[in-house]
Amino acid sequence: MKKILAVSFVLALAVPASVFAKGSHTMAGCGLGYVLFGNQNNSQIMQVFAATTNGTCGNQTFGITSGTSGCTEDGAVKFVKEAEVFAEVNLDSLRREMAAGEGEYARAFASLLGTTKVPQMLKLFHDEYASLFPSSKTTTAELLDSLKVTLAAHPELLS
Amino acid sequence: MNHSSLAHFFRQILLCLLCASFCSPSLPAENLPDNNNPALSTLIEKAHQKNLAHDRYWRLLLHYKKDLFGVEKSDIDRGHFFISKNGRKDPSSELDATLAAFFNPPIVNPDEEHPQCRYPARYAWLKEQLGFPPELKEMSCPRYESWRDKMDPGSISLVFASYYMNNPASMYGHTFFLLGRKERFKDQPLLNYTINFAAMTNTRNGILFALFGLTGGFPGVFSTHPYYMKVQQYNNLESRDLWEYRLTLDENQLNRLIQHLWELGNGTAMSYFFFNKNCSYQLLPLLEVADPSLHLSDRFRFRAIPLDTLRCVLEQPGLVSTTTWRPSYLQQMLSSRDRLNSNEIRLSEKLVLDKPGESRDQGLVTQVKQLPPERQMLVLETANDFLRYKSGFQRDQSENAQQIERRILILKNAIPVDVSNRFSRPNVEPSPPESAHKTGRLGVSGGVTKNSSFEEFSVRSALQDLEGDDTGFVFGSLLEMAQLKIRYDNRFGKLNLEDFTLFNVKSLAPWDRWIHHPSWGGRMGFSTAHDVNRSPERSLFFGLDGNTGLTVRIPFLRKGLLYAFAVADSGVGEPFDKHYRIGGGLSSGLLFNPLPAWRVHLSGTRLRYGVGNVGTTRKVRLIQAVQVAQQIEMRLQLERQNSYQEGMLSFNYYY
Repeated sequence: MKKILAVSFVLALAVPASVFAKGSHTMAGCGLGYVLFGNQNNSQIMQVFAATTNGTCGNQTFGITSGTSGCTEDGAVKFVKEAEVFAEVNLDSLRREMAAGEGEYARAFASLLGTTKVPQMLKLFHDEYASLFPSSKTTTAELLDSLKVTLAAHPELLS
Repeated sequence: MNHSSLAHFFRQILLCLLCASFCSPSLPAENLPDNNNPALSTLIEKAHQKNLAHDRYWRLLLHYKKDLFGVEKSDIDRGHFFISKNGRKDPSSELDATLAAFFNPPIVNPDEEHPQCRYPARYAWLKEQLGFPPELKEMSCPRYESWRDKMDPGSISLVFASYYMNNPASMYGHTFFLLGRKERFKDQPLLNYTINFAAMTNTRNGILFALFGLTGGFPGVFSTHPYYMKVQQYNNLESRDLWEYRLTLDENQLNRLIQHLWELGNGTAMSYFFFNKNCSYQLLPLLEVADPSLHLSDRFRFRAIPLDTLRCVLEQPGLVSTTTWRPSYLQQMLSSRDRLNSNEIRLSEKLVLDKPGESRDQGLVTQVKQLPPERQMLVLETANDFLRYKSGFQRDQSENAQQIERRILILKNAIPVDVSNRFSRPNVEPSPPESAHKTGRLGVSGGVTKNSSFEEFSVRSALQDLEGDDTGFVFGSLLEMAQLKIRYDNRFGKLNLEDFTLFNVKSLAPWDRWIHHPSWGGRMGFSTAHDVNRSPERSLFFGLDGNTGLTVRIPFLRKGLLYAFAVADSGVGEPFDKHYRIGGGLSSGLLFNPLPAWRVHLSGTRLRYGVGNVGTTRKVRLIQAVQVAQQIEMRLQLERQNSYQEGMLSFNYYY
């Protein structure tokens, strides 16, 4: 777990790339998926004690005027990183909703990708699901790469 | 809430260390009022004339509060929020220093901020009150503007995260703000930003965690997570409902709040106290900055339960407009399962429990595809939920879980998209959190024992027991903190402490086909040992007990629960031989409502003490509680402990 975190941070500190910048390689993400969904120990005792402070994961990354990290600026997600961070944090919900071509996360993702034609984008998610999520182990980076290719073939969605 | 493993805490610390290197140095140069700056001197004099330092708004911006001893000082006790070194206690010196700092020359280092940009709320207000002369050059604040653009504030809601099953402490709730957007993504609420106040915790030790949380050992900071992170955390990870209460602040008011929020960044922190200066309390001063005519935080000096702060906001005329409910993950799963027939439930289970394999999958696929598409959606969504419940939300899932999920998702993908577009999850909105009875309770009782009679007075700080009306609370949960009972015995003519409970918690989570929670509980406090048959003033002891067991629903009784516990019990005090006893045993009980407003609780306990005051204790108790009016309840309690017998009639008032 610590190794994954270390690797994620190294990548996050590397030169950031926009999801759809021409000729660039999509990053592996900011490691923010693991802020919430790292392995948790749901032990009862810790839960009861933790209720006393309502501590929140990622307080530092999302602290106000916390400075700039790979994906955030002063506690807000950088504009060019929004789709990527969303996909990274919500990968499991997206994997689930894009199969049906419906759902709040799928809709929000469609908007983040820049379309005004959300219903058509949702249908695309549904119809192209096998190529967007080719296996049960598809990662965020792979999803974003596949999306780039798929959306390039449907320019009318982003016009 | 922190579901924490060792790795998670290391992660917190690592994040902290990495971020510290990005935090801008903060303390602006102290520019003392200067005879060489006549413009500044004029401004300061004007501010003194208008007595701005003692204006309510200035004190709100500095978070001045009376502490426990009545001394006025700022809640902000960490970070570099104050320019003047006396700023925490002296509003006038802070105002003078702020005005002086506004005259600072332009900042050269891009990592630093000019005081005008560091304190946009102070700047806007002082400019409005005093009128700034041309000598005070207005700086541009690109960093603040950039942050503001991302926040994109158009509206604001107060969000209440409700309780979750099997953690009675969560009945207190949690609150944070949700910023509705103005320009971008207006119909995608998941993409909104939130404003949350929480403790920055750095210990893994459970006891220290609670201790620091209670005594202000942690700094509390504001953070702005995207709402989707909060929804994942509360709805999914913690399975809590979210209730969004839209507030009617206008554009100027929201603007002031946002400006002030920026001032509370940059390492500013306030010591976090679980009882009063907690997550929900610290949202109220922000609302007061937005609208200074609101007086919300003053009544929460000693105790701030999130449910109460929510009620306080709801009580302000016209402040709340609409309410939106986001059901928790578990709520959705159970609602969907309720709509399935028994064959469909079995099919959902097979989809989750059957190991992936060619022939088995083929059989399941056939069974699913025999259903009409809308039923397929319901079965598959329920199965998907059940899988998630069993395997958890962590990103790294087992191979088995991944294959099972894929099996479900491929089937879902085979359903035409127009069917899924029409499909909606069945949900029945429960009573909102504010419909629960009030958090504190007063009681007056009269009772008889074998040889005597008594009157009793009780007061309880929080929150709910098993016999109280559970509207708005989780069914079968008990959480009591700071309860005091005093008795006057008519025969002896004496006043005695009957009970002082520090905390008492019990969770009777019913065993469900899919959800297997054990029941548990614990209590710490002073009690009267009626079972050892000493005189009342010699029966007080300090006790600690714990229990674990199972609860099942009783289908033919309204709200019927049957529970059985294994109990460990200990006590220290005068009534015992050798001044202590330790023992264990069994406890069992039945709870149900013969009528909606009438609750019955029958319980029996048998404890054997082997160490200290050796002996056996048998207890039987019958409690009947009837709700007679809103916030008023009548109870009849019959109890027997060994040879001691007692009957009591009580009237409770919730305040």
